[in-house]
Amino acid sequence: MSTSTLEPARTASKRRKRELGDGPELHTHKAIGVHKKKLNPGRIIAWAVLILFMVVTLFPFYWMVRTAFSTTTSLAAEASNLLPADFTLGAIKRVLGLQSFEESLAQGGSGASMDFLLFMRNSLIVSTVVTICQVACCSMAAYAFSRLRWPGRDAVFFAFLTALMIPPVFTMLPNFVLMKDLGLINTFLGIMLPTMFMTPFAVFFMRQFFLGIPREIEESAAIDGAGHWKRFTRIVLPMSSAPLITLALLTFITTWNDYMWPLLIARQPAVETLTVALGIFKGQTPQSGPDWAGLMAAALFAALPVILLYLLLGKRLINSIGFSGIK
Amino acid sequence: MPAIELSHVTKRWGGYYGVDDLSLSIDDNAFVTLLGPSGCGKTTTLRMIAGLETPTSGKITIGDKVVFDSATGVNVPPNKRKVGFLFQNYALWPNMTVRQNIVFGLENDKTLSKAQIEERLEHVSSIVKIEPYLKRYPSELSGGQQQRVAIARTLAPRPDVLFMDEPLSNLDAKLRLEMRSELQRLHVDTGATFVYVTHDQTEAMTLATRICLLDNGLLQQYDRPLSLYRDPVNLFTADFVGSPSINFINASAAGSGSVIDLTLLEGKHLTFTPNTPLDLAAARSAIAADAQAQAAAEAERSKVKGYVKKENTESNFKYRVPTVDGNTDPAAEYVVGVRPESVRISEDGPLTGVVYSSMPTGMDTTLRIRVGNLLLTSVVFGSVDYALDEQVRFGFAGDGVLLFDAGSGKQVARGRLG
Repeated sequence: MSTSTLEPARTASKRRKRELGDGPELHTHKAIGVHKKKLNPGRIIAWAVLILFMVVTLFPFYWMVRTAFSTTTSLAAEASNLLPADFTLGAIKRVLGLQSFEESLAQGGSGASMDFLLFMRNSLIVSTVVTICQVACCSMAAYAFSRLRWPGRDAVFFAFLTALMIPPVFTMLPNFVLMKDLGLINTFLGIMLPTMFMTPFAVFFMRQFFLGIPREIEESAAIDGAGHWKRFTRIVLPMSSAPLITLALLTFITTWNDYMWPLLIARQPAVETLTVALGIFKGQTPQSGPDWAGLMAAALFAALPVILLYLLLGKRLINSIGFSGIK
Repeated sequence: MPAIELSHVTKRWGGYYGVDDLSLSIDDNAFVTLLGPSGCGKTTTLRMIAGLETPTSGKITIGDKVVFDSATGVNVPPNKRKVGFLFQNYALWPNMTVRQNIVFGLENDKTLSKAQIEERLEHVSSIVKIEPYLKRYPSELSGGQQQRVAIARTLAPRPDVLFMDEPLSNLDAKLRLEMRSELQRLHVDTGATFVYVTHDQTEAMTLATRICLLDNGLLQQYDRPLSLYRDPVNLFTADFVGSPSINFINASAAGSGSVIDLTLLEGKHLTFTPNTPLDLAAARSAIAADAQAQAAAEAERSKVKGYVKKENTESNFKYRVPTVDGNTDPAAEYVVGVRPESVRISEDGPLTGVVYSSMPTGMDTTLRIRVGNLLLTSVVFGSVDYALDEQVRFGFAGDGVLLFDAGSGKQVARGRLG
């Protein structure tokens, strides 16, 4: 090894031959060593920036966890403590309705009980139905926009896409009036209807993927006697499982996290979603401030399903977004 | 009874005519190749017959059923035309196993029982020898195996007509040769009508019972492969068919009847003896009259409602006389076409040339002979080699020498040149 470094005149290929002849094991060790030394200042800065971003992103989440395990009454005094202030599982119990009224008051809670499982159920119903309907309808619409030929198709698609530019706030009030006229205030249907069938993004997303499927794939099915519906369900949809899962995941998460619309439309416990119900810990407190620990504990529980989904399918989600981006 | 009949089929996009007034009759049980350079309209023609593309105008009949007629508005969708289509990229469904790919079309046919489907599956997979792979997915197969699966899938519904769009172009050379002979066997064994698109003239020559040669959307010649080779109607056909390419020699002609004096190859004089006596002047005026009639027919067509002027009137093809310095040989009134195997090296040949290059393969040797600035290609059969720059005497053998009118490109006569 040392001989080759002493002879700079040798060509790289010659040297490699020699080293391989000397003993390949030693060679690989050296290669790893060289690789490690590549940590130049640029890389260090890049890593530092990434770590900084990660801290900035994750810190609020950590703060939520930390507060959830604190006692509300001690929070103000220990504001700079990075660890839970006066560690307790009280807030968690409160969210699950396992704490007595007195205990709740003592720990800074409102004493109000929260039927967590009910709100969880409501959120699950809304998110699941919206997800299923939206994926089904949007993929059909996307197929029509990408594969069927009908007059004015591209113009309609363009008009449809411009809807992406309209901020949701603009449509909120008209939608509310509409729901009110339809008598759908305080119903699941009222919460779900605006996003249940289609959103421009989902249609756009699926259409782009369908356009990437070679035409021959469908043409060969057509020649084999399959009509549009069969081609769609038996060939196009199964081929698009990755983007479909991505879309389902994104829709589920968006619906689960939605706050503004359910807040407007549904204020009765029977239909209230979890995001709205969290307000219990903020609102009716007889004492000076909101029940932060209870609120954070509830928020933590509310975020759990989404976090679980990410843990289970996150890789697939990222992969398929990348995949459909290339197409 | 013809299996497929096309009459005056036109497909255009704006002023671009992909297929221009094509009439074609494909016999039952024929193996027809649609041949031509890329962009000549061959794939479009095939797709129109299969129903994947809608013609602008015309009429298409498959068997005794009209599947498309612009006059009556008939347009039968592809799934009702009972045809098979083999795509260039195979178009296998990646989400299905080989088995599912093959039975998909069979399950769409409600008249088949489960047992019949099984039987068909076994039969077609044994024809193309893919039984061991039935449970695999297409992505787990090699290109050649995928090709076989695609063939099996196309054969399974037992179509009367089978369309193939350059099915061999994605295979390597060796496999291609193998599949070529298998396709020929398949044609005989299935008894179906094959319509095959290719830009490879060797493939067309070797496989087809008839070749339909297209250029720029226009039918050039529709004939048996060997007729196409021996008796091309114009310079394009003569040039497109045959490898190595035909020799073109500019010439001027005088005389008539059975003795025509040709001046060619930088001032040399040879006598052309047409197989049937020829009146040069009459032949030329006939060509002119033909062109006039065509222009008149075009003018007639332009009066029809909805006519759009054809923008792509110029073909990309220009006949080329190879020269040593790469300059073009000044054009003449006539062009002589001689197949390389008819350029014969012999001691008593009337012409002399110099060996420009010599490429022996063992089976034959392809020679380039230089005469002044001009180059001629000759194929000598057998294991022979020539020294470069060696002087050779040569002549033109056989009665297959072609005489073309340079202006229109049309063939005037076949005969002997000596």
